[in-house]
Amino acid sequence: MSMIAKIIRFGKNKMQLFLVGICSFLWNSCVEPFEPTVDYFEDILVIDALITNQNKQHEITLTRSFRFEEKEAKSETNAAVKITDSNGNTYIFKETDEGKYVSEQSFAAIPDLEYQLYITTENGKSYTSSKMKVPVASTIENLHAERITNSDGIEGMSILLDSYDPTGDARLYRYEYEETWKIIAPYWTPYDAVVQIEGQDTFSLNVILREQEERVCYGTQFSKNIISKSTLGLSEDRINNFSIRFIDRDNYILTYRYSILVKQYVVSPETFSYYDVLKKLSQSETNAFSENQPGFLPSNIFSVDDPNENIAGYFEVSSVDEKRIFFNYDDFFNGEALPPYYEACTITAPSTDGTYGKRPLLNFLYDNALRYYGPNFTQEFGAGPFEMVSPECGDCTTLGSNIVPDFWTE
Amino acid sequence: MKALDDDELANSKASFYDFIVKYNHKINQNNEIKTTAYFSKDLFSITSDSLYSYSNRLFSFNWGHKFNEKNTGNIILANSQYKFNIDYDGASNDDFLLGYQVDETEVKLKMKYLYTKAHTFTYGLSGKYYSVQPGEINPSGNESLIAPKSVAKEAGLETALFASDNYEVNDRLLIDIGIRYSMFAVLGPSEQHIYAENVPKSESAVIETKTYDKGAIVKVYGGPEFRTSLRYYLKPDVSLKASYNNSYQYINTLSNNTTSSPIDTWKLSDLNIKPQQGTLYSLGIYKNINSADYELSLEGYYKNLKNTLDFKTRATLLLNDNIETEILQGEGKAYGAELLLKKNIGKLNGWISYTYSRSFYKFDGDFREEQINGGNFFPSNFDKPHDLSVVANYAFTQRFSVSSNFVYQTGRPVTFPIGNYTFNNSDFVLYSNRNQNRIPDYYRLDLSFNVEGNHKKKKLAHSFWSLSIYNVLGRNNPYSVFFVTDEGEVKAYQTSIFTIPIPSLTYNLKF
Repeated sequence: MSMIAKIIRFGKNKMQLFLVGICSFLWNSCVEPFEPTVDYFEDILVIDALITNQNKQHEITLTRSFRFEEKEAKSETNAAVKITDSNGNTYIFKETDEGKYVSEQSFAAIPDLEYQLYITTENGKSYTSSKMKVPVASTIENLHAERITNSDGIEGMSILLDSYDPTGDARLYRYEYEETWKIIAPYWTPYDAVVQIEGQDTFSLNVILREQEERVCYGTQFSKNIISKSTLGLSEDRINNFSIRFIDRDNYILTYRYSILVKQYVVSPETFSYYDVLKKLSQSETNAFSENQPGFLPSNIFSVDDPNENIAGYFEVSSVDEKRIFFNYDDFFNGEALPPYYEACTITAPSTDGTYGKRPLLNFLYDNALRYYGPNFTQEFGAGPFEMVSPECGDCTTLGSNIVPDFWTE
Repeated sequence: MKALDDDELANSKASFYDFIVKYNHKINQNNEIKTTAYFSKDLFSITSDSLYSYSNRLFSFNWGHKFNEKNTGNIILANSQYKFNIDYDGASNDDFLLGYQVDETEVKLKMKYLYTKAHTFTYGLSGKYYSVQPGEINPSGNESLIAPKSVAKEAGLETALFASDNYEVNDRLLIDIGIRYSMFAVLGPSEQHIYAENVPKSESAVIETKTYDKGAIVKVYGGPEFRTSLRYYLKPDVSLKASYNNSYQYINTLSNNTTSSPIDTWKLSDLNIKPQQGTLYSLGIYKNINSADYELSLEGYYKNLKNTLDFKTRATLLLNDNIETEILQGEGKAYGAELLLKKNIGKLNGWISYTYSRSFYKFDGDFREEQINGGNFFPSNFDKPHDLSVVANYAFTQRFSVSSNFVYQTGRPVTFPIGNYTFNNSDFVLYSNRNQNRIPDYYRLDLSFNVEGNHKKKKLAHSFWSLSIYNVLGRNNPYSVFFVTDEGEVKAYQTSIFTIPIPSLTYNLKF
């Protein structure tokens, strides 16, 4: 703990003027980590449910809140999940994966109908949502990429969207994207090193052909930020050059070929406000003066048995339109230096000295912690028999999938 | 001190001073003037990147005039100003200066009429002009990219007429019954939004913006306020006091407790923010023991609030243009009881007081975002149930004495993050219901040793020295607990001031 104390002022000279004196204090203050002595964790149900006007098997995810020290959420399994509409239809959702519930049949949310979500968890608790209607549909007019320098002075690619709803009824939008990029492992070779035998005194290593595609892969990432836009107050329900995503030109995902699928949801005022609050609560501020009032964000799903039970998440009924674009690095940065790779690749040549279980190279091979690059002729990088690189540099499957996505075109 | 090596804190500084000047002058038998001026300024920084300053200025002038044996009058002129400033000088290009100011000026005419021995009437009128500068932020330094922003100034005039009768029914019973009619005019220049009905107030629900010129009346609020109190002697040394009053409040405190340094801001009632109304009932029993050596009292109160204010969840707390879209008005209730034992004379004197008090708010609007904690009552930012205070003085001789002061308070309520959850491919922080947790309890012991100057009658001034130790126990009392989200990780911090015993020397001079 740190502290400091100083006297700044002692207004002695002025004192004669006054009938009652003055006082002066020493101040000290500090900011230090706070460790609550009480465990404040609350285990609550989290519902992530979205149905749209797209005719498909919709998905609902049920999880639980988790502690700060935990990495990820536990799934809420074996729940009974269904959605009903005001026409008397019922759509049953079956658990296909832990906590992931998929509708048995394909359906699309239809305008003017009211949808309601019902969940009964394994422990017998029941939950119901408010009745939700699907907003009007609107289409993405244009999605394009542009090379720009952003307001922070950083050069890169901006993904821009135009949308226009002639009816003027949509007005409230939110966006999600899914981006996919081609990866070529810079230190890939067709070969792999494997340990054939390891004994107390002897061992044997083999160089074999790799068994799977590890040179060209496709990385995928979903949007994490809440992106929303309102055209309320504008004379037309029109969005021009709205930036969905900005990618720094030094980001390796731009290196070869990049694709982005943007989904535009037209949302209800209630849904818009839910995302707005969620966004404000999750923004991290640069300084401590502009914090927002924190608190529990209520869901549109309620416990049937206990009105005071808190539930996180939301049942969203929105209309959706999507567009995908592709571009190559060359299309915008022709002849310019490629972005640096995912990481700076370095070659090492770990030795094989040691006894059983203590030979460095062999242990790296067992752990898949290094990949084969070539025979070590130069001894420049170490004394071992092989030149080795990190998995990310030698094997693209550490960063993406080696299966060409269905939508991919070259 | 080890801390001096710490760069972050080596630059921290703090000062604190206050001045009071009182001047009373009796012009003649019938005229007397009393004036008071007060000025205080606190300056401190918790981390080296921010400097807070708070200042208070008060001035009052009171002219008392005696018309005749039965009629007296007072004209009171008072002005006060409260300011705070934050000078933020961080590492990035977001340095700023933030300013906030509240001014109040009041003129009051108070007349007293001794009708009979039993009835004394008090009547008069008053006017109070409020001006609030709810904040401006300016970039500081050439590098800063902070955009200057200023939230429009607010002004209002409160006027009141009042009359009361102090009626001594008999030796035992004294009744004071009064009425005050108060009115508040919201004054321009101002821009006021008109919001669509049946939707939550939000920027997108603005259907009209009205502009008012300087001095134009935007809206008038007001109503009668009743004030009644009575005192009854059950026995010569046991009295009972009861009171009832209701009041309107046109200047509203918005208190936020979520940052490193909780800041209160003020908002005048306007077209969209209704004045707060409070009704207070109190009852107390008082007993003198051993003539008046000891005083024992027990007081209870209950308070009802209408249109009390708090922030919506997610509200931006400072420099908000459309503050009415960020706050809610609802009900409040507060109650408590205080037990006080006081020893007035003797070498050892002082008091022990224990108060149990609660304060709850309820916001149950038509829309989910206009509810807090599901529309149920919850502990307000001011709910500190237990408060114990012990003051003891011991005089060794006429000139040497020691005083001690002990304070204990329940920690203030605060909203904690209580976990994470996954929604829409991202992890979010889960917060508890509003004010479900508390910062640690506060306690502090101060000691002071006083030496008085000699008591020659003809001396120009009377003086005394006092050596005090503040926070003798060195208790690290958190001033605030706050949370910072850094790369998805929530970190909890506490701010404390005076974490070690602080000695100080005071010299008091009285002319």
